[in-house]
Amino acid sequence: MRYEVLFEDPMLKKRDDFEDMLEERRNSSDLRYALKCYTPVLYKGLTPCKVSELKQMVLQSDQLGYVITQVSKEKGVTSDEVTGEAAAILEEMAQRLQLSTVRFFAFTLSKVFKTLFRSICINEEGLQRLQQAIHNHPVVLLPSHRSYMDFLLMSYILYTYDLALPVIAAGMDFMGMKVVGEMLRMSGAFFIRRSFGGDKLYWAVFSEYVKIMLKNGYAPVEFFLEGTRSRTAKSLTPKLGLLNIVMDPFLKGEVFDISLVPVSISYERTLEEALYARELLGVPKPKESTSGLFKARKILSEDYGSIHVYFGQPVSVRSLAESRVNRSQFNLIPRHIPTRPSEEILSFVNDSAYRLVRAQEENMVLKPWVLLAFVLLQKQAAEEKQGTALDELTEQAVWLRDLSRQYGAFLHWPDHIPPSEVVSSSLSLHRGLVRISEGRVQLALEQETRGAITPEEELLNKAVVILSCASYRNQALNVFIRPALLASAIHTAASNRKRKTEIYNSFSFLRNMFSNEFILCPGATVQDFEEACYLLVKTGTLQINQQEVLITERGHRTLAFLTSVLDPFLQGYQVVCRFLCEQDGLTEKQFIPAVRKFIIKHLLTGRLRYTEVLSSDLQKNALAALIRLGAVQKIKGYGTLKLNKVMLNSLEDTLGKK
Amino acid sequence: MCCLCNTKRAMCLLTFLTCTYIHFFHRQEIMKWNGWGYSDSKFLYNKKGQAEFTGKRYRLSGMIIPGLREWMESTFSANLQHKTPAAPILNSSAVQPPTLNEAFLKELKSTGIPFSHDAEDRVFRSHGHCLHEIFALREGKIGRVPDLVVWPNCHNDVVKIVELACKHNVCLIPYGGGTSVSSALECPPEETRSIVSLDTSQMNRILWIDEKNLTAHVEAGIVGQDLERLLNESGYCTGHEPDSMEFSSLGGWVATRASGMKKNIYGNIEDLVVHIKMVTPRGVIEKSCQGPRMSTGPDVHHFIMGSEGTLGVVTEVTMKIRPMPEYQKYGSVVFPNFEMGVACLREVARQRCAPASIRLMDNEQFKFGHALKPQVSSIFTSFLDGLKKFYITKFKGFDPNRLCVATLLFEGDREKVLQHEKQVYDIAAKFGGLAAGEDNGQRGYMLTFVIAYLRDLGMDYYVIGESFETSMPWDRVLDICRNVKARIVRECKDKGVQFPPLSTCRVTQTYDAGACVYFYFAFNYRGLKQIASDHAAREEILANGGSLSHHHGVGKLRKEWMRESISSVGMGMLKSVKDYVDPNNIFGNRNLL
Repeated sequence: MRYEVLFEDPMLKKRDDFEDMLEERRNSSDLRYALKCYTPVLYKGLTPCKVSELKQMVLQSDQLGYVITQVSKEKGVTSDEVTGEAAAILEEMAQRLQLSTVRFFAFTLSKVFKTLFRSICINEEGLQRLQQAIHNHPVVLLPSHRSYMDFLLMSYILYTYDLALPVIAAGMDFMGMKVVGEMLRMSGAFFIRRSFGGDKLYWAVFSEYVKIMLKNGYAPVEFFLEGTRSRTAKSLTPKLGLLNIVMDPFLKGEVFDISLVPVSISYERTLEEALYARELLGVPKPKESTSGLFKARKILSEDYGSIHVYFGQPVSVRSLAESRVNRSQFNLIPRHIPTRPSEEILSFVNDSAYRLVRAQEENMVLKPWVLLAFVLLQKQAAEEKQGTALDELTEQAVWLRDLSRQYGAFLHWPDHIPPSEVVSSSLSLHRGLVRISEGRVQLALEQETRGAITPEEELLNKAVVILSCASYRNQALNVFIRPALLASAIHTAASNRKRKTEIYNSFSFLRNMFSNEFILCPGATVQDFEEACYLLVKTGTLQINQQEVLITERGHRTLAFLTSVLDPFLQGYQVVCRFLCEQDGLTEKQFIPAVRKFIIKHLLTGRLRYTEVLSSDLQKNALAALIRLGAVQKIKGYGTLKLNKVMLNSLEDTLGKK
Repeated sequence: MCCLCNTKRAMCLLTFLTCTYIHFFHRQEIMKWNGWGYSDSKFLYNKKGQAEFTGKRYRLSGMIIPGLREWMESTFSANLQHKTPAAPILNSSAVQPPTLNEAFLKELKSTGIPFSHDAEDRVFRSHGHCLHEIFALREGKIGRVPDLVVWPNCHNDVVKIVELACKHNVCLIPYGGGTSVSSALECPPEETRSIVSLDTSQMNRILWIDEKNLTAHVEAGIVGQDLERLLNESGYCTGHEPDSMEFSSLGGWVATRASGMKKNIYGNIEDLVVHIKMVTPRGVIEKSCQGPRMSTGPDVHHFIMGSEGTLGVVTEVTMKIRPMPEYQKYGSVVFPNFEMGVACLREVARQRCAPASIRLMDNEQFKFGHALKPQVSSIFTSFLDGLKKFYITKFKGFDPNRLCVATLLFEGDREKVLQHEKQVYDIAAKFGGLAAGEDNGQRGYMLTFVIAYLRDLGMDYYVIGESFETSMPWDRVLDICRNVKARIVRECKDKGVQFPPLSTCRVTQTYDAGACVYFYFAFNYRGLKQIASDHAAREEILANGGSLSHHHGVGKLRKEWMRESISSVGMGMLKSVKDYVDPNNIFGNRNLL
């Protein structure tokens, strides 16, 4: 009984159908499309206003006025000067949404998209829901972030379907791209500095600007919960700043409700595939520059498959907050005075953020290639040098297909085509990453190289392919993560009599350890455990009675697969612990280069099995987890790390046993 | 033969005809037992299917209201074919036989104070006017009712009754006008003692008027309209005019912290009261002098005001009086939207130049007001109306679905009123307000008195409605109005109400630091299992920084929120007063705490 209460059966998840929006673009004039009549449905409570009026409203708001007075007192300057400063910040930040620019983008993007992609599939029902939501309440769009393309794509879709164009929170780095930056501004982007921690004035201008646009229903506000593009294709743990801001008007009663709409954008092939892998390996990210973007023209000649965009069910902030937040806590202070959000609010926003990221994850479309990536990476790690026979690969992929479907994956596997064809067409789309010879498939690790290279360079070249491949496998990790944590926990309980409580403790340890790595909602350990148990029991892998967990005959294969899902991460975290144990003094800055060097050394000597532990994302997450757990302490001001070696050692041991 | 007042029934009726009903013991003979107000006054659809207001008491009485039917049909999708008539007469067998405390009764008889345990008398005093109370009565459902009704004639009678009640452990529930909308008069179902309803209606005299100090000493059972009329005869008034003043009593006002429409000139009850006498189980509480203000610790009047019958019976009150105003003038202003209207009211309050009354209706209520326009007698008036409408909507560009109207009442000497009027209209103009005539204003206030009758008509046709009020700081007025109205719409939808409800509000009072807002909602409940309440709306109010009540009080309906409203310490303070004053819970209506 309890299971049904806690979560729905993933098998029963109902999802909408997709329509290819490029089809019409291929059959009718792009120019006419770009010049079409655009009359979106607007918010019912909208008071129309111009871009310049918006700025005036921000500058004249009580909120900003309060902070301006405060700052002018603190700094001993006139409030006029501070107001001037605020106006300058606003100038730098503000969007200048202009239909003509959007039309220009609509035209050019049509051309680009048609060259790059086979199709852009949208769930039209989701768009209808969105339209309804826009009419009823202020809307916040929350797309997943895997590519630069995401926000142009979003605006492109909304324009195409005659929906209100959003204003988009974008990182300041885009502004460096002179012309493009201005173009983006005119298509609705507003720019925020990456960090402005202590700057009260900046924060006030920024939050008031966002709130005013939202409250007035000026336009849907769009931002990325993950804060930045995920280089690994795993969802990033959500950033809370903007979510806090957009929920505030509801919590303070300034609007009746706000709709949060998670949007899942899945790319069959990511444009930035190899770029991300290099970045993770320490080749620094190229600065966003206009010319750089044009160099990317080479990209235009390739086939990037299809994009699936799923507009999820709008989530009402009001229902999220119901019986969670006591809104009367704002009754006793004038609402324009900035206050630090209470613990209650912070944890509410945090939980909501995780729920939303999970909603994004759940509606990400997975392609067959994602499953192949699992198999190929596991084979590679098992050092099967000669590769996998095509029919074996197909068999394993089909097995995984069924498993992932049982776990509720949103898998787009064309069932009317023979599996072998599905596999070979997937392989051909990703031919840069695989090598097929004599009916055997393996990752294309041995690249042709010019001149002599060091073993280290060779390793890094290999790692680029492995991490690229991993970025596809990662797309499905959220499907397997809970069962995988359980599988690893069961694996540790060596004896035949596997006690449930022991397994739960072990599960809980792992879950806690990896909660910077995967989207695991804080405080939901019991729920996650029960969900994992439910899935494994339902699929016939386990039998669970009051105290014990039994593995069924056919369960061993599933368990073996699931444990191997977590293995690279276990090894990665273990090696980070080992590395830290061997350090004496270390600053946060030195950490990544040093741990990378350490790992390369161990990989070259063959003491490590998984090349992917070279990913700086994993290393950063591991460090964050260790800091959270108290094994490492950040000394404020100096950036040095204080290491608790006893704890690190014991963590390493515990991880090693898994 | 009337056993209580020892007169023949015919004589009782005579009393009514010459005086007012309220002297009368059996109120149910001129008032509805299961609806609002006088039996002879009600809305109905006549044979032609037109709405009509019966009786002779009100300006609207005897008139045809041509727009009401269409408004009702379109607003609620109500259908005249689908009737839900009320149980016509009280079925006495549905009333539980009284639990009588024989010893108490015996001693009561010896005092000569009239009493009754007639079913009709008891049922009449078992309820106020909450939707659920009236709804149950219409269905013929009767819960716990008082076992006995007593009619003390003066302060000393009350002292005797309270003494006897203490002696014999009888539960007393004071009853004034019976207009409560907080479940305050409901008998606690868990009460096992005999419950005695103490009806103050016979204590209705003005004992003296002091023209030097401009005060009047009045018995607390007097009803608003009688008090005003009697004072008017001497050239005075209290100026306290709550919307219920036709029926509500002075004692009730004190016990609930009532507020009157013209509080801007005369003040609310707490400003009007100079001296209170209350009989409690511990004895009589009163101050020793009539000084206008005292610094003698916390004001004990404030334990009494708002005590909702939990501490004792208010028997006599000294109130401020004023000479009757020389001149009265109604007025109205149309605003392009509610936001502008609220901004204007705020500015009026800031400049402290509010007229005797200033109220702002939202668009829905404005339309409702229009639907209640009686048939116009001359073509010329309707032509003028058309012209006005044209001017406002077409010429001034007001959206008929957004505009809203403020109604005004000025009072004082003529010159000052005119000056004041100009000042207010000038402010209104700054917020896009257009003067819309005296007539609209006057009709607005008249509606206040008949709107309660309208609920009974709705209930004949599957439409139920309720009203509630709150107060809030100025900066939250718009937010609360919007959110509460939206919450009502959403709750109705969630509960399966088929058609969107009427959800409307008006700002009825302005203060330096905030305002009072009154909400109405009504909907067609056909096909619904359960009738709704305003519970969710109240939660929304509290979450948005509104108060639990501005003047209706807490009763039992809003008790659950008292602790969060006044804090645990606050509750403890009230509790300890109750424990001291009434340790045996003689005044056991269980309101408030």
